[in-house]
Amino acid sequence: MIVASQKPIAEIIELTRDHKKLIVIGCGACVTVCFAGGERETQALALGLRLAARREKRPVEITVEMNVRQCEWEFIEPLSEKIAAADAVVSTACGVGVQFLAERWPDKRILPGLNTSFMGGPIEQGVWLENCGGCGNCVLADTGGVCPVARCAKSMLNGPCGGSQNGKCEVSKDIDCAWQLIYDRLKLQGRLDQLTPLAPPKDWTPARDGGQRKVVREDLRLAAPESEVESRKSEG
Amino acid sequence: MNIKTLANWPAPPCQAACPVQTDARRYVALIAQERYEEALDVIMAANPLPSVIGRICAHPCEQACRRGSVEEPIAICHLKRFVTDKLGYSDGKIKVKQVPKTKNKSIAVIGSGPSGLTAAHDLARQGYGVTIYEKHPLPGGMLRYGILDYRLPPEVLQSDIDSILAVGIKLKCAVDIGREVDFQELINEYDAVLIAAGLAVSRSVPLAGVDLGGVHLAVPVLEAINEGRPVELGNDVIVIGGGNVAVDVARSIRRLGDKTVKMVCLEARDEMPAHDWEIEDAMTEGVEIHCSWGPDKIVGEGGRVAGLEFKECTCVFDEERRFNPRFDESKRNIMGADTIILAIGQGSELSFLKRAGVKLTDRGQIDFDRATMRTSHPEVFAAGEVVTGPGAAIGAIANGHRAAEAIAAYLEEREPAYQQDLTPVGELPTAISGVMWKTPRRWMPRLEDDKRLKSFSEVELGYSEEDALREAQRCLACTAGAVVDEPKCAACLTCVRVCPYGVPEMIGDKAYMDPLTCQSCGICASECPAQAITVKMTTEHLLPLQTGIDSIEAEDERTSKSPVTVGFVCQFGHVWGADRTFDAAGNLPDNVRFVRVLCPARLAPADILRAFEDGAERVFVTICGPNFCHYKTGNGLTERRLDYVRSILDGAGIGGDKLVSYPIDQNTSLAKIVEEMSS
Repeated sequence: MIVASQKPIAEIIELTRDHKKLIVIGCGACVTVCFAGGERETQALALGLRLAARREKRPVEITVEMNVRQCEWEFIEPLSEKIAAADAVVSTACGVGVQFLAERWPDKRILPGLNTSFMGGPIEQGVWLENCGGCGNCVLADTGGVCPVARCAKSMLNGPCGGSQNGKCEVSKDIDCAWQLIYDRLKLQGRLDQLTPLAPPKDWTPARDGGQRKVVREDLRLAAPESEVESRKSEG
Repeated sequence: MNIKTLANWPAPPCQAACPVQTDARRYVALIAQERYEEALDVIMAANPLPSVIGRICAHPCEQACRRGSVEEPIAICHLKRFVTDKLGYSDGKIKVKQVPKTKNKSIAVIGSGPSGLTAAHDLARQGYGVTIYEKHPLPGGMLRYGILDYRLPPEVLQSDIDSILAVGIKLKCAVDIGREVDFQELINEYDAVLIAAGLAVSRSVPLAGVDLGGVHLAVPVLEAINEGRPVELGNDVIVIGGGNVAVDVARSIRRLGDKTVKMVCLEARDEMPAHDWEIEDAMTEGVEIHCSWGPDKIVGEGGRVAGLEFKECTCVFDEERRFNPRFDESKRNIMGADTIILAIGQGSELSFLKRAGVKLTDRGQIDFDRATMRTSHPEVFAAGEVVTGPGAAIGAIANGHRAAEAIAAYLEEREPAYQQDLTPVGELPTAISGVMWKTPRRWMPRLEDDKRLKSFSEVELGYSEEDALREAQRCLACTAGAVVDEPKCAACLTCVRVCPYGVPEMIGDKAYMDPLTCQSCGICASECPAQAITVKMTTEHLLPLQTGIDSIEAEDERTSKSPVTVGFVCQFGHVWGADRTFDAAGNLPDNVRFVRVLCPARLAPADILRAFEDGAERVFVTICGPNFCHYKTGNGLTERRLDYVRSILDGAGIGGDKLVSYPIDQNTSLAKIVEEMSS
């Protein structure tokens, strides 16, 4: 899931200081599960904003809305009237949700309530760890199910580097060296020989380096793509 | 058990076991929070005789209480009495409003025992004119004449009756229907008649020697003692019978001077129909109990009782649990006695009904349809022991309610809406009872053994407030716990992880808390990031309801010189402090508001922030001391959650230091907490 955390409330107070009518919109998907933008956290944020406004004697009206998943047009559409009536929106969805709102209501100021961090999961209640870098070309089969792209500070494909000390990364003693983990895992599985061949340079074009990415499943699309329409025209 | 819908949510066992379905769970919780007036309202919604029932109830609720599998059941009956004592209800200090007669129909009730009083009360409150006819000089039926003052002081009974009558019921005492007033006259005068005459006549038994001087029936003896009339009793008394009436007679006679009292009954000790606690009291008071003996003949001398000859009773009931005693004629025993009292059962004298066309059965009982509460005469109904046979007073009250509904439905030409049985939650699994915080039941202080026999003073002396609070805290709040709003559940597993009892489980992608095991603490509800969990019991703890704070402006104006402090106070911790109770609040500044919560761990961050939004300048939360939390992990969770709320208060410029937590122990007092907050 996408893991995010709440922005410091002081920062959101600054962002919203000039607005008289705010709507804070939470998201019921990933950010609920990671305690960043679900109903519990969104209510608390709204209350904090109200308390700050009252302390500064700023008259402001702040309402809270919850949404199933802000990254879907159909789910956000019913917010239309309420968003139209607000001066600004604080979205406590991940960056995806914020952008969906901004795209749908381009004339409205849509503010992020969260810092979206990574794709990962909880390793215990209250602690989330990054696991996936979204590189677009998964190497986990070769690395014992430990991702070097997300979990090595250098995203090395032939590790470890010289900074690996006692199984920890030189960046911080709190971070495990991903390549130590890969070694240990493959050793456990009796597959250390997998590490012998040198991994060739990775094609990073499916990753972020290739610009904004898009996944298209033509078989699922309901409207025929432009190119197809054009070619049918020329054939006909 | 897997119950997915609220429609078939199980009832707490106490309520399901109560013949009138008193919401005991709720009133016990209200007592734990010192909300006594509300507790009395809950009690009286089901029962118009709270002071009486708080003393003499057979309390099937306690037999059903699931705390019994942890150590001992909650003293629900004692707690009921505590409320009536504390508020002065049993002293007549609470005045009941008269209900105006708004319906042009009227009902006669024969008998002023618990069923008659209850039916009269229900009907009068609906606006019917009701007149009660009582044979005795004073009302109450067996409550007055069958139960002695040491269990139920007459002034307590009178107070409850006065409150019932105050609704607007006429009472005519010393009127014997059937002898002094013809039953037909009542039928002519009233739109409906209810026979609730009880079982006021002691049965005799065809025993050799039963006509000898010194042989008495139980009920006349009890009546005489109750009315203070002299009874001719010797010094060596045998009471025949093993029921509650026999015990009452025996205990009463022990109070009439230095007399030897023996109870002799057919049943073995564990078969005796009298309540265990009554039998134990009788034994403490010096009554000898002789079980498994059947009377064979009364031995006489000069026309008076000299003793009783017994034979051993080998078996009281047959295979089909019918009363069919068998004896071993070879095993015999003779006891000397100068007085014998027969307490072997009661009946009623109903022959007068026949003249008015009310059919009786071959055995002289009313021909009665339990479904409709009717006799063979369309306008004549019956209720209470006269039709149900002997039973507990609370059962007679339940029957009175049912009769009132039957009569009202008849007069209003509609179908009756009787109370439906509740399905109780199952037994507490040992996995849960084994990890419960254990604390013994608080027994009510009692008159010292050596003082009991010197008078008819009440034996049970009442709870102190501390007793009541600590006892009420023991309640497990069965089936008042977590309910998931499924569409909101994000399947985050938080509830599964945080529950101290391991209750939540995932059914598919939705969380589910089985009411069989949920302990109602609310920890999952406040942790749930989707706020998809509500706690049935604690939704009432909203700030405005308890503090009256509902408007910032109004509050600012009122307290411009003294900012409001709100304290969220743990229901379990508050009596452990040095000043013990909210009584201390009386000495505190009036800008301090308390919100009682079951456990502060059930406060979501927004609950605390709302206190600030609603006008509080400071908020404190009491938690239990370091070594105690009713719900095991509540203290730590609360502390961590308060840190999160403080971060928001800091960010908002309010200051996290405006939110303080206080562990309560014997050295802390609410007064001191408030003083520290203000300095």
